[in-house]
Amino acid sequence: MSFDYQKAMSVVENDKDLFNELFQIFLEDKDNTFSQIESALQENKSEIVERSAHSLKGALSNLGATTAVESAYTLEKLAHSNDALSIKAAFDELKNQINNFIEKVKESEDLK
Amino acid sequence: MKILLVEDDAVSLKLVSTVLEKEDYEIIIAKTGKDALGLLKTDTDIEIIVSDIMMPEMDGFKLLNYVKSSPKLMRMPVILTTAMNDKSTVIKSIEMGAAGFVTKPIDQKALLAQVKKAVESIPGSILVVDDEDLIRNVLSRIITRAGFKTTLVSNGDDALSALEKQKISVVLSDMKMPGMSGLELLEKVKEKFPKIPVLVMSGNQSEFNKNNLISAGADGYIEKPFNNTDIILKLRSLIK
Repeated sequence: MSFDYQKAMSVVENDKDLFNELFQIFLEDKDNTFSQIESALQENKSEIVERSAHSLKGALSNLGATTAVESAYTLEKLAHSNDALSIKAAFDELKNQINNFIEKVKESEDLK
Repeated sequence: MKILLVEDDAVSLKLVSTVLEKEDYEIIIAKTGKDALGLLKTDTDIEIIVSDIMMPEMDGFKLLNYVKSSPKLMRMPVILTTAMNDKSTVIKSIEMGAAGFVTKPIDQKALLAQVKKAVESIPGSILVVDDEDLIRNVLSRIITRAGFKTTLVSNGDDALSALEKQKISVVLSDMKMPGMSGLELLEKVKEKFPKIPVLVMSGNQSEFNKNNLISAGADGYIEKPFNNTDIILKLRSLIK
């Protein structure tokens, strides 16, 4: 599920304002994390990719982004085993899933 | 109660700090383990650490290791948070001396329960009762260097009111003081706060007085002029 509303609400104990605040922080932060991952990929620094993916996994899990959490975990594992070819594809998949999540949150009637 | 929160992910940082601030904990933030070390050196009000595990430069395990091997900080509870939830990470944390473990997504109730438990585990102050300024200050320096907090008072009445007001782990009292004597204080502490150990200090005690101290319930006796190591070892054996 791109956005699990129930899960997200259980983390913030139904405080929608807090969720929105966390979501804004995520939006502001993600581009920075993406560019960190991109430069780490170019420089072949897989430990930075692993750590950034791990950090994204934590952030996304607090926001109920179930599918993106899985993608972040996949990227983290591949970066750990330094599987250069699959890392790139996994990163693209993570970006896709994050975009899906952001769209779903923005469309969500429950949050309005 | 001041908590050092160490977290590199902005979303988790905001969530955890919001949850803790709602419960009136004071929060100080570090985004890396290295920054956390800097704050631990300068801010002596920090009483608990809540730290993420995977961070750049110095991770949560290294931070935990530093705290647990520093004589000054070793009693500070460290709660680790992580998006990992494999068993081995939890076991490693506990073996290394973490006071608690919280996985992401953060469960607010679990986090608060662990913090509350950690707060309860923090030893209280060592209450130093002596009418001589110099002795109080010397004792305070020796005891804080060993990682305990101290509360300093100059007479028995102030000692009793300190015991009413704050968490005290051990009373360290002189015998010969103007007003209430050390023996009277010992008797009053044992009557009102029977669970709090009392160490008495004095020079030249006759056998008679030592017997009186034992029957009054003293938990230890320190001969003056005192030996620093003796005091710390006795305190450690009383605070588990």
